[in-house]
Amino acid sequence: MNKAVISNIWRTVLFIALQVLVLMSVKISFGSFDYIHIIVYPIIIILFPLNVPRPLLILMSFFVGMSVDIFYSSVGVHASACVFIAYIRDYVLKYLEPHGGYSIDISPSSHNLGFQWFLPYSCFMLFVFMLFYFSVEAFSFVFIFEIIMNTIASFIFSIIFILIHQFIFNTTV
Amino acid sequence: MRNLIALLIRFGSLITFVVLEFICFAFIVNFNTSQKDIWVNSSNLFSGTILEKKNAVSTFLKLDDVNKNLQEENARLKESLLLANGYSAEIMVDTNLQYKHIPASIFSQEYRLRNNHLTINKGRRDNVKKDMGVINEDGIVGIIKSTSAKYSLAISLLNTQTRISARIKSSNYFGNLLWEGRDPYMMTLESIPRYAEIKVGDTIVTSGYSTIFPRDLDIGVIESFELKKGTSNLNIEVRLTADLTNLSSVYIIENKDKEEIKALEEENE
Repeated sequence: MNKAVISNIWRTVLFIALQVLVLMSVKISFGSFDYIHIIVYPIIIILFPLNVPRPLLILMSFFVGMSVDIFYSSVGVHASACVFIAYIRDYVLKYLEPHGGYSIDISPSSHNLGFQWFLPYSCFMLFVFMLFYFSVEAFSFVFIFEIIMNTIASFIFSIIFILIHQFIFNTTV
Repeated sequence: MRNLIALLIRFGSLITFVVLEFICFAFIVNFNTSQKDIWVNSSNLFSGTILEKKNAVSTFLKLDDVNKNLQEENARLKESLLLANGYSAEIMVDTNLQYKHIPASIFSQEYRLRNNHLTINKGRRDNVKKDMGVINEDGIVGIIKSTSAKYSLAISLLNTQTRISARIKSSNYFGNLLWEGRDPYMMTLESIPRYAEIKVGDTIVTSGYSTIFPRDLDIGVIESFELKKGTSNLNIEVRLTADLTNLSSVYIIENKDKEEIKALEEENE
């Protein structure tokens, strides 16, 4: 087992634990404005190394989502959003591919590819995740207002956490 | 086989994605209450709309049959209408055009006095007039004595002034039915000759010899009889079929030919 695998497993476990043990019970609301849900664990999927085969990435994202779902007691909701962003990650990476291309086995982190590159990548991935997640949670576009408010508010707070994490820890693998 | 593997490599992630999303959504609608409700409602809405459209089409295609059925039913109804001599549904006992039945209900009743009366919720406004008969499903009940616009007062059978022309159904002897003021279930039939062949349990019906009641309405059954002292007539105790202590809905009988009969009788006098 090489260093990358171990560090990814650690990251997965730690972020799921952070999500379900700490962030799940954090309730930020201003009066009736209670749309803020801090969800940072998609960073696991965002930072999976580039050499992971795509079907495997999708499968692992499914399990990540399911383990969060167990704690949120919302079987399948997080998992479906995780599977979705895992599937589109390849297209996003292709779209954002730098001139030199990616070196094959690195993690697409701020440290490896630069903050300039990482910011749009993580923002897009997280925003899609939020949109998908809150849509599935509401399960009907009757609640379009709630979906959009939840997505925007939660996205803003969550992306701050993810970017802070990228500043503090130099994620190389 | 090689093609299949190539296909899997090419579309592996898409297949994984679709399969896993399918599993996720299966989980979501099976294990989450709110999503399940929405799913069930939406699918009902969808299938309901489809079924409604299908129903509209099949109804249209069946119109011919429906039309035919309706025509048959119409014919049947017309036939029975002819049989019933143009009677309305309110008519219950008689199929004779001479009599009309007005449905009514008892407003107040008495049966403990010697001269009992009934108040009925139909009056002049509903064409109720003096001397009309009052019956219910079981038999005769009384005779209208006076009317107001909306109400009418009837002499109950349980009234010492009551005289009903009654007939023994099996033997055609007829006499006067009167109440002796004691038992609200019993009346007395007078003026039946002693040689009349009667037995306990025979039915007493209206004679039809008055303009009040039609012929052959039930009154009661013979309970007992004895020779009236000093006469050659029988005194017959009749148990009433109608329970006059517990009345609710009744029919008032209108004899349409009453005026005509009266006029004819007066002409002869």
